[in-house]
Amino acid sequence: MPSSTSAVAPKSTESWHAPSFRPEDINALISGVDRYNPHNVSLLEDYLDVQIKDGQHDCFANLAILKLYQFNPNMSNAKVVIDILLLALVSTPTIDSPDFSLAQSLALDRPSQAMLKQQNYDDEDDAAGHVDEIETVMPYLQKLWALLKECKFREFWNVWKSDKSDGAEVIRSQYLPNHNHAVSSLRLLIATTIASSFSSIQTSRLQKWLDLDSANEVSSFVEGLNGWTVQGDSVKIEGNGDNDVKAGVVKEQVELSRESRWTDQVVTEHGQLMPTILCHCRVDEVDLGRCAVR
Amino acid sequence: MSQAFYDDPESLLPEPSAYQPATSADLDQRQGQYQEYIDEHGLTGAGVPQEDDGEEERERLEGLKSALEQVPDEVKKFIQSFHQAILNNDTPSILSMYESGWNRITQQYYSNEEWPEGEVVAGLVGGDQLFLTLYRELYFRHVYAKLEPNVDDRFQSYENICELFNLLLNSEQPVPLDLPIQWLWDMLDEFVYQFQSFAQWRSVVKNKSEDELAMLAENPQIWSCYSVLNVLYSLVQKSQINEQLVAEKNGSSPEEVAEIAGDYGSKPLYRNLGYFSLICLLRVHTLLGDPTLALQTMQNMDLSNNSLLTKITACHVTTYYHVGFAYMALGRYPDAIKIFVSVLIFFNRMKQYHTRSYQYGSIAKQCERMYALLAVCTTLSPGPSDDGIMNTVKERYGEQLTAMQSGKEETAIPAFRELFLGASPKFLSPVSPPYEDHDSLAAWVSEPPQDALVRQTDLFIQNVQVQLGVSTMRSFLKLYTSIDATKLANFLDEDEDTVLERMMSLKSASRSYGHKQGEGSLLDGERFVTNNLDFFIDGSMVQVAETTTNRRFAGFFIRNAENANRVFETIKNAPLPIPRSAQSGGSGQQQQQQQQQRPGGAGGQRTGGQGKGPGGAGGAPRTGGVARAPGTSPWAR
Repeated sequence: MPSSTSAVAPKSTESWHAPSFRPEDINALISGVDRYNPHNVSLLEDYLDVQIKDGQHDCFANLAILKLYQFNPNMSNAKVVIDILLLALVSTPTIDSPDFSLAQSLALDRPSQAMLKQQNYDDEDDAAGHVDEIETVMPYLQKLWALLKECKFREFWNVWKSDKSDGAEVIRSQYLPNHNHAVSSLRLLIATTIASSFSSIQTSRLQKWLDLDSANEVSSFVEGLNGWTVQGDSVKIEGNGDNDVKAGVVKEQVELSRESRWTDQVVTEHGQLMPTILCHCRVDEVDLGRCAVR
Repeated sequence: MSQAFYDDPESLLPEPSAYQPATSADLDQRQGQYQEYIDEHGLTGAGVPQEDDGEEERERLEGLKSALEQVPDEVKKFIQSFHQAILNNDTPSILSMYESGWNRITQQYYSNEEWPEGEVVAGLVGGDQLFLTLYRELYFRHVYAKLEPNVDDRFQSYENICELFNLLLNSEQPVPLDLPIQWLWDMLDEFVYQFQSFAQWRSVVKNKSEDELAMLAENPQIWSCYSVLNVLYSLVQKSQINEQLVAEKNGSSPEEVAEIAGDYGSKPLYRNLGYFSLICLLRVHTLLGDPTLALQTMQNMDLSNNSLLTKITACHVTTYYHVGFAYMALGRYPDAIKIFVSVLIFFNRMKQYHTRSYQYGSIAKQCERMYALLAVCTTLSPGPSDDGIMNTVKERYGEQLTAMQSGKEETAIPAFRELFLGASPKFLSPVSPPYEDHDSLAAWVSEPPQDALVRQTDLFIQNVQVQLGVSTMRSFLKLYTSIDATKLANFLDEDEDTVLERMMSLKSASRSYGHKQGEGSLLDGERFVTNNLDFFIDGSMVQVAETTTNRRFAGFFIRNAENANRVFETIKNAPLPIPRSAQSGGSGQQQQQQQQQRPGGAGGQRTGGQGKGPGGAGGAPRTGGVARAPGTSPWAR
């Protein structure tokens, strides 16, 4: 893990809907009507391969692939769909990010499998051997995703490594070998989740949750993260706005300039009136500066 | 926004004398014109075949002629003056005929049947193609709204609307037509509605007649997703609406915007069609289960209270409903709540002017759905919100709220499911059953794909299910300022790791991304804390931090300041008092004069709540200054 990694939830959605690594041509493609052109699907599929190779995730570009499949079921490529779902699952920026749901929403909008078999039969004469891989892996992926959302990390790793379902076998044998970054992305995701709740955590617990084999591995993992330090038998996590919250008081703020026209009149025409009213109402949080400027 | 509803549209209708019953001489004359017209041009109305094969054609013309004779005179007259108004681009007359004339005649003559067909009335309007497509647009809308559309209606309405858009988009120069924005919105709104209705009808393979099956097999392009999106995107591109909106946002002058807009986009007709097409795209993408694309198409749109979309209530409500729903699908519940609340406040304030509108029912229904969605969203992401709206939610969905908040799977999930099913848009799938291939169709019927609405509901329930335990944890934490996780584990009868896992889940449920109005696109958002109750864990010690809210004074302040201002205005506008002793005789007259002037002075103040930020119900400026003013002036008595 590179030393500059931060396990903090992104402050804004920009890196999600417009990631900095997205190439210009892909950006132009998915923000125009060209995204409906079936001929462009290979460009997007190639980009998906790059993402998988580099351990990155461009949710919107991948949704554009699924959109094309949704409109043109004959083009749909089960392998690509599963790659997208798996990538959305392991590379989501936070566990509350909707990446996996969005991908499901489009990926599962597909015609009946009987019909596809029928058509495949027409084309290739091997209807009998056709297995709907998406249907096979879906329950497994959904289970993994639910465990992540519920933060049941111990069980998650258990299912990740040793689930016996057909879907799990398919994912492990055919997909994970290509998704080299899957495990490190998942650990980062879990670390991000932990960091938003904990200011310090027992090393042994961290080890279980991250599925690391020894305390040494925990140390080297922690060293790679900004603001994480091992202290005795626990790991300290630097304050990030979420793990150092304080009780506070919310003060009411009203932008008078937007409320109605009387504000400027009251202030500019008869400055005397305003203090009287203020006093009367005991309003202590009105931004008079803004009011007067306006 | 309100202007159109204050004016009585009926008053804009031509004087009743213009509707004098036609004498038989008139009638003969008109038929003479019609006959003349046919003699000269043949029938060139849209959809009318032009081949001239003797007997059959003559019979057909006879048929049309006698059909026209059946049409009541008042209707003929109406169609002619409607046509005339459109030819003259006489917008006020068009608006009044569109909004009230058409409905009045519908009620009187066509409450249970179709209006006369386009070909029948073609002669009345000189075969004006453009008018006839507009007429048919209204004709089919009436069929969809009041009657049961049959397969022919569905196909023909598609062909007609495409013809209309073709006329507009493929003309060599902008069509010099100016229609009220209300109509343009309704037209596109109806376009999406009919698409949705067709897609639903098409997805049910059973109970289709031979004819219907054959027509569906031969015409897969009718109401296909690609063609509908094509129309909408073409309107967007022709009008350069996105470029225009960007330029406006960047503060370009109207001239600069017009230049960017080009020949077409600078015409109100094209600009408005393009603008409403963006909203229709939002809708279509939401229906197809793609909320990110839905919000993406709206990225240059201004949703604030001054934007064009708020000028038409139906458009305002539809836009906000779909934007809110898209946020919900992204799990951004606070954004969804904000959007729903703001439009509901607006609607509650406007509805008194609206009960007469024929769309009132459907708008009210959409608002009803938003209350249900609010119940769902506020359960998933509790936080401060508008009290008035939330009271309505509690009144209507109290039972479901209790069930959803119980945190018990067997009671909560059915309640979530019920509300979501009833309140979500009617999702659809872009793919048609394979009507063109008999074997594939049989395979389709034997194993139909999952219904789009059910699929989306299941997805949503997946999201809800993982959050169920959260509310229990939250109510536990409320009791402490700090507590050891082991102790909490004992209470909950769970092991410590499980409790900590649930805490992290609670943490993630109380964070979201929030959009700031006027900043960036709708997809932009900053991470923020959604709930008053927050915590962090130090080792195994849970430290609770609850944020309290000060009492709110602003609403009170604003009301009083406004009241004071009103008093001041009244005083300022009142004439100076004249010493009583000097004018003992004339004082009565003087007082009278004062009273006449005063309403005028007070009337110069605001007459309605303008420019309200969403959620700001507390600060509603009072109206009614006119009535109160005389009593508050010390000189009044």
